[in-house]
Amino acid sequence: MTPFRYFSKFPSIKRSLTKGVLVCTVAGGLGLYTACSGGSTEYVSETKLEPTQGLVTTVEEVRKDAFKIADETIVDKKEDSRIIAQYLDGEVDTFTLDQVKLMEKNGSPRMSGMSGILMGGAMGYLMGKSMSKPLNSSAYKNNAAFNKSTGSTQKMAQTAKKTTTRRPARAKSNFGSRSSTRSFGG
Amino acid sequence: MPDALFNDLGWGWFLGQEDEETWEYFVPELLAISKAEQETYSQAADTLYQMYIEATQHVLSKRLWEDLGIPRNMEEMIYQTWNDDRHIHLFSRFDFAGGLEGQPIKLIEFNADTATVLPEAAIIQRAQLKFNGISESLQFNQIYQNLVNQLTRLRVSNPDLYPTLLVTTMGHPEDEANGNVIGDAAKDAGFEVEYELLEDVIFSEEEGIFVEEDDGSYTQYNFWYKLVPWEFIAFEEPELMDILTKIVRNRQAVIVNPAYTLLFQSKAMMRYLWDLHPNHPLLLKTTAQKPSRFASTPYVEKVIFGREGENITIYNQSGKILDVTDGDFGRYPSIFQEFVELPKDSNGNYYQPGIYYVDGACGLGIRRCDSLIVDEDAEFVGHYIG
Repeated sequence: MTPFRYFSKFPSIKRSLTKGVLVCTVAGGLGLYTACSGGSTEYVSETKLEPTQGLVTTVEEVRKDAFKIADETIVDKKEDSRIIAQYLDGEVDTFTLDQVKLMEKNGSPRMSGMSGILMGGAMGYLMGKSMSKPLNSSAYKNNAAFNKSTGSTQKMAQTAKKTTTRRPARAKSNFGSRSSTRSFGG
Repeated sequence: MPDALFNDLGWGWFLGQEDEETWEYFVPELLAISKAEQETYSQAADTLYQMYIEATQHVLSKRLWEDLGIPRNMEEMIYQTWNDDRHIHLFSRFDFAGGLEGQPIKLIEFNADTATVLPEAAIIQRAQLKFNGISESLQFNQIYQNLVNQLTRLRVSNPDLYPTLLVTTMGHPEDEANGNVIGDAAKDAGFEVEYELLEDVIFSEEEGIFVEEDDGSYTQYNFWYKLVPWEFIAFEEPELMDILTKIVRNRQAVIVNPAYTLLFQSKAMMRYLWDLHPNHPLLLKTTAQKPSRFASTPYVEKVIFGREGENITIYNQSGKILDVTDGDFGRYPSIFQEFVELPKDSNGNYYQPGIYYVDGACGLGIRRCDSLIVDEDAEFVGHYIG
């Protein structure tokens, strides 16, 4: 028995199979867990999306050690991601993703109360949260910020690196293996 | 440059350490070229690229492309990629004779599909300047930056695809070093980059191009840079050609360089350039016919998909062989081209300039050898503008 089969690719919706009558539907958006049933067999497969773009997230300290996301803007490269923290005392700090991870691990007063909020936002996808999990609206300062990040998340999903747990259909490999090792440049 | 620097860069194999001989691929001196020579090379490459575009349009509209030795199984993909601007030509190299010390520039061939010598030209000769305390601006070398710009254009022109690039060679260390330069430039252009040998890449005609990860999952790549010649795929792996045609048709991947670059790469194209622009100063007379046409001039017979100086014969004016190389490509048809000698120094070394073209002429790489035919034993000579 094939342990995993997968009948659709994100974000397409429907595919009929030739063997028997079996139609599988995948929810749109970021719900990437799919289950199909055909006859007596249940197939489950998972597709993971890993962002290739980065984000600049601005968080505001709304009261002591409580932050909200005021803005999240996509940047081209993951390594250009930044977290800009605006504190009640008027100070502003800028962190890289690595710094945030390090401070999270070691515990830092500048980070207190911030990481949970970041994880609830689109920045969470860069910090290890699955892209199939939705944004948490309560992490945002207002609806405008939440709606902007919802749009950004869709864009990030379009450009994400895609991994599936199932061998692609009609997959072939081993091309070129008969030829000798020579340079094919010129 | 000291050997240690090469080893640090991961290019120790350039030094030929496996041989006992003290073979040096990098000539330990720099060639001075003038600003005027640089500009003349640059203009020549820009002019020729436009001529190639016109000639390709001519060949495709008249459906002459079979005369270029291109098999039928490439037809669909060539037309498709030629007619769709999202299939961007990433990079190529014009190989010239002349251009130094007042000699006229003549096109010898155009490496449009799988040009190499990239680490040497784009990176190492620049490091040579740095190591010798010469300003990096004194070199005709914007190759790497142009690659980054052109790859960025590729990514932005295809917003419907994941910016994940798979770099594939067939395992030769020199080719892998070339692929690594493309991979580095692609990372700088905002791609996620992975490397895989051709034999390990998974091709699905329904879903695209994948690599199997260590944990048994499969990662899809929407952009594929292949240092695998199109003619190899079309002739030696026709099943792969068919799968790739479907993958490109369904926009599951964009392949670099695009299939139409094989038209540029075919040496038979130089015959059409000559037909369309007879006696053009940048061209050598080129025909598909037997050499009687050349009457009293020496000429060269080249196979249309030869590489690294293989399967070339040079004849003198009376048809006697001056030099000949054998090789792996003898099965392809030949063209005949007027012979022109490369610039030569007092030690009997010939110099062959190559101009890299990445959305415009952007760099010079010079090879040197002691025979009339530049082959894989040629050395690389760095240059500076002085």
